[in-house]
Amino acid sequence: MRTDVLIIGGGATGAGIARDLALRGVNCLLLEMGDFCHGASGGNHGLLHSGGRYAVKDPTSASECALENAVLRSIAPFCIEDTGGLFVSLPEDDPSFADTFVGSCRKANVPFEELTAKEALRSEPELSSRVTRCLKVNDGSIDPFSLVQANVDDARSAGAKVLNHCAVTGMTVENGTVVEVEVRDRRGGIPASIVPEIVVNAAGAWVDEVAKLAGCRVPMGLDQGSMLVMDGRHCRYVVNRLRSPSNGDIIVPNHTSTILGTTSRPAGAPNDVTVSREDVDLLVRETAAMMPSLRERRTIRTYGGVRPLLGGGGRGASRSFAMLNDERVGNLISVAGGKLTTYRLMAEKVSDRVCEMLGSSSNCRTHKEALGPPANGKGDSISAVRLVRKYGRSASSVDTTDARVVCSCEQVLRSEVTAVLKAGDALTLADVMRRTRAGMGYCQGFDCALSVLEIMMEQNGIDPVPSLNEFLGERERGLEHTSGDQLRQEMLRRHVLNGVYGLGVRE
Amino acid sequence: MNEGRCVKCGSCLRVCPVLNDPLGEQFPGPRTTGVDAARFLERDSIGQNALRCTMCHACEWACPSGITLTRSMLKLRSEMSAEWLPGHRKMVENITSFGRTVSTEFSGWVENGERTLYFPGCIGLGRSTGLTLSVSSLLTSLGIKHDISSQAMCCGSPLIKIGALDMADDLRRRNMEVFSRYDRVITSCPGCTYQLREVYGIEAEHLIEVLKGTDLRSKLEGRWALQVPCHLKRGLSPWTAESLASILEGAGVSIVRMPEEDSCCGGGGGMLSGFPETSSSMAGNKVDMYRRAGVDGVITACPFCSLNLGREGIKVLDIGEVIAPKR
Amino acid sequence: MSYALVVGNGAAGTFSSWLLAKRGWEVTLVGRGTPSTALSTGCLRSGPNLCRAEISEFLNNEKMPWASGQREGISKIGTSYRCWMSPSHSTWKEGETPKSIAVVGLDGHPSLLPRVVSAMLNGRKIKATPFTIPSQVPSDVPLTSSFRKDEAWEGLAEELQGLSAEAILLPSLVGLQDYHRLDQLEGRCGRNVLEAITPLGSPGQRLADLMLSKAAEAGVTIWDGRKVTALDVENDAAIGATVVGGMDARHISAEAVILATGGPLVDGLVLKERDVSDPLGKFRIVRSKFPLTGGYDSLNGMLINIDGRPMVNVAGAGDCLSSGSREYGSGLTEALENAYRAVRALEGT
Repeated sequence: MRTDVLIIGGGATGAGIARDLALRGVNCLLLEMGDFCHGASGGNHGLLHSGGRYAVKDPTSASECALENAVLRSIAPFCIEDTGGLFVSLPEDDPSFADTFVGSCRKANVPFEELTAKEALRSEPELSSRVTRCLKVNDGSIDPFSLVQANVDDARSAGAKVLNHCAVTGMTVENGTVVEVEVRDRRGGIPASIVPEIVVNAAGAWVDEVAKLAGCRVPMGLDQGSMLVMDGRHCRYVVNRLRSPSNGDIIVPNHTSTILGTTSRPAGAPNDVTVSREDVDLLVRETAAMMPSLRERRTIRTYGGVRPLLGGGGRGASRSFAMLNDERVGNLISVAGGKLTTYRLMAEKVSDRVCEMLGSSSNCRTHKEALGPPANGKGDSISAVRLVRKYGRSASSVDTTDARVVCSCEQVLRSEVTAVLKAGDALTLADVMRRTRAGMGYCQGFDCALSVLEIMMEQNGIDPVPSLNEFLGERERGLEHTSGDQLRQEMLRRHVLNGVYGLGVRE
Repeated sequence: MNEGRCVKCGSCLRVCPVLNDPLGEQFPGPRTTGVDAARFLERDSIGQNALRCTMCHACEWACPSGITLTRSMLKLRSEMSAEWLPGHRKMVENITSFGRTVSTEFSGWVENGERTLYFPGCIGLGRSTGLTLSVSSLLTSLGIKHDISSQAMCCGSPLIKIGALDMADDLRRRNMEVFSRYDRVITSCPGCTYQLREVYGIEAEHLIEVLKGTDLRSKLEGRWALQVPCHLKRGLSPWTAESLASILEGAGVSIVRMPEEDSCCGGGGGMLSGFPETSSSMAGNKVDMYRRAGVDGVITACPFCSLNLGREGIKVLDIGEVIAPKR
Repeated sequence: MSYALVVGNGAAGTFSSWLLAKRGWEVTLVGRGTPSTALSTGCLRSGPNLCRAEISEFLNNEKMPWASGQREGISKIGTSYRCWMSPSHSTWKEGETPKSIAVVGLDGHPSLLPRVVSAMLNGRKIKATPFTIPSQVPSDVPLTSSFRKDEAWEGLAEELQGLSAEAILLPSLVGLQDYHRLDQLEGRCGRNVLEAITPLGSPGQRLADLMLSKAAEAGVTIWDGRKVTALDVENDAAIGATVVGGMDARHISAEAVILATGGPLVDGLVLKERDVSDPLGKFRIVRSKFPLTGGYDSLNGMLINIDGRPMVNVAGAGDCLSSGSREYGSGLTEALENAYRAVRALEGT
């Protein structure tokens, strides 16, 4: 099978490139080894940066974020909650940082507004009364799964071929050119080898591993960050600590939860996402300094992501991105670094380069053409109102005449699961969860997994046991450090799954 | 609010009298409305079906985690953006124009400046005036001189059930002026009693509490079953609810006890005015049960229970109507 | 007559109050919320080593016959469930596995998922076929109420008419009052009717209801929906308790107390972060590495006060006791046994 451009990696960057190229009329194929958002695109805060966080140390990233923030709000309003963001200082923070921050925001064109401590408390009542200074910015919360799926859908309607669960396993390089790429498709739907003109390596944390298949290297720093999911929305705004970027600085309200983040440590491998007990304690301690009531809230689970950072890891590393073109292999472009908020810009730059190589003169349209409509807020149930927010344009494919709910934590309709399965990308329970959110709530799939499985068997005829064990195992990874009411939930889960059903739940 | 304690055991679903009624399927259920909805940014869009709850507290009693589901549901109701149901709109119009949920038919006002106020509530003054007169004469025969004030308005409980908190608070302020003239407030409606205690901070007494310990005799023949009011048992006090049976038995009324006597009749929480067909279905099921037991009728201690069960064609009497002091 | 206060409305609380009442005590049982017993499968996993006759008498019920011995049934997801005692339609005698089973579920309702269960059974070499009855019943609606009327059972019997399997596996549809309907259905269909082993459903509720009604029949005064918020202790003896219900509170005096309040799942013990504690603040807690197995310390059935001395008239039973080796989902027998021990301990005083 031949293709003009083969894109490897179905995170935000890869999906963005596929959409960009397809809109320019370029023939392209995107392959993702797992599900979309399998790497850092799914393992992040869901924060749409205003640019504030990078204003002081990384003004280029800050400006890019500020610009792209506005672009995403206009092209993908359905998957963004316009929460706004606050940067707050506490007495123990260096007071001069706030002044530097203000100056840097001005320089980087990051819009902000200063609030008095009183105003801050009025707009965000759970904030600590110790807050000394507060700046309001354009942060928002964004659903990366929904964003990436919309890019994939849009790329497809423009002619791109996009496949998840399809891994690249080898490359043949002849005369400084990748001439053939071997793939392993979980569905067995495409030929085992692809003949591309150009290969774009957008594999995120796996970028070096993919480059190695062609005998190249991409020097990357892998940096693990931990996050905590708290049940319920505990703030209206995204709340950031007004200090030099550090651990436990950010609180993001998102869907039915509040996400606390993040930490930073070198990662040994792209999938080294393990969250330590210390990370959990640190995140609660640091974020509770800004919002004391967080200490009393129920933590559902932890998760980690690995950031692919340019030039080494850590807090000091740039959040900017680069395109690398190894001279030994002329038709392989590797994309490294970057972040969710600027994914579209990266995709634009990469697509420009690809078009230049292909001799095409068409221009980027991704900043002008909408990925989906704004969430209209109409409907007579929580489920109905959320459809556009979760599925953008595809919301219309959900049959709302059937009002039955399959997952009550997230108020997911049965018909959402059916629609997602019909679309064809979801092969596992976790795939269904990423699209519908069934299983993301506080019971962690305890109440809905079997019902979703039944629908999957009806639609796809999958083998239930491995699928269930895989899903429960995946959920369980995030439950290691549970305490309080989530531990009671875990007790009930074990009582039923382990004690009654006799499933192999890890002790 | 303590919704964050839920472990999804489903106990609330098993006991919900609305979900367990054939016409109750449209109710999203106590777990969605009392636990899950609060977590959503879009909770105000939950839709009118969320009002299909009688506020019977059965879910709250069943919850092993002690979640105050009723309180949480009331909060949700105050945040809902859905339009009022026709019955609820009518109720609000009535309160706006004359201060009570239903038109006032009662005319036997007593305004003698006594120290005790008998507060019959909107149903007692609009629908069950016979009951109100019976209770009044029972109180008099027990030596409790009392006023029945034409100035006292709706207690506000029905408004809280539809989320109209400001209107309810307005009524509270007006009523407090009336109540401040009395040392003692007696009611015959568990809903009013609950509201006066919880929201007004007044130690209002339900008739049963007044009757306890007095020597009473039955005015009734035949075998009677009980409808133990939800707001009495699970709202005010389970001991007071137990007194309903013990007072009647003590007075010599022949009572047939049955396990489901304390399940909801379907009349509360704004259901009767909002979704009358569901109220009727729930009451119908209870009445079938009473009929199977072959009793002559039902005795209760709540005007809503009387009204709702009575509509299904069974004889329903209030405790205030069936007993008198021993001569 | 001696006055006993039993706290907790699950297996341990109801059984101990039943035993006390049978032995001439005047007993008040205070309980709130749904006990773990009602969340269980309603079966006893292991055979009791103690008080077997008492347990049999306590559980005996004309509406719901029990089967005991080495039994096997099918869990709600199709895995094998072995136990010692179960309602008659839940299990078969081990080794007498049906050759073929029709797995019946209501479309879209989580009570029993015919495709998942059939696939699981086929994987275990039991010939199973899924059979889905068209339905629009929402997930949160319990089925027991839909299956209370004759017409619903008529309809079900007709639906099942054409099935050829040796046994029919049903979701849990019946409460205690309606258990006999399974016999009737079996008669009409002419094949074995099995109820899937279902936690968090009607089987557990049935058991809890049965136990509570047995206690009431034995003369126990039941204070449902009420909670003991404080225990009055003088020296090493309890003399009374404060009980709260609705907006009301009462004081009750007692000559003996059994705490059968349950584990952290049902708030019998308070779980904060990863530590259990005594909500009454009176008794010693044994903590363990895995916090959920921690609970009240006891000596010969009696609880130990915070000064380390055994109480003279306060015993503990059930899930609130520390139980380091407890396997999840198998605690009912143990709860009944230690309820018996608690009663023996109090009578010894």
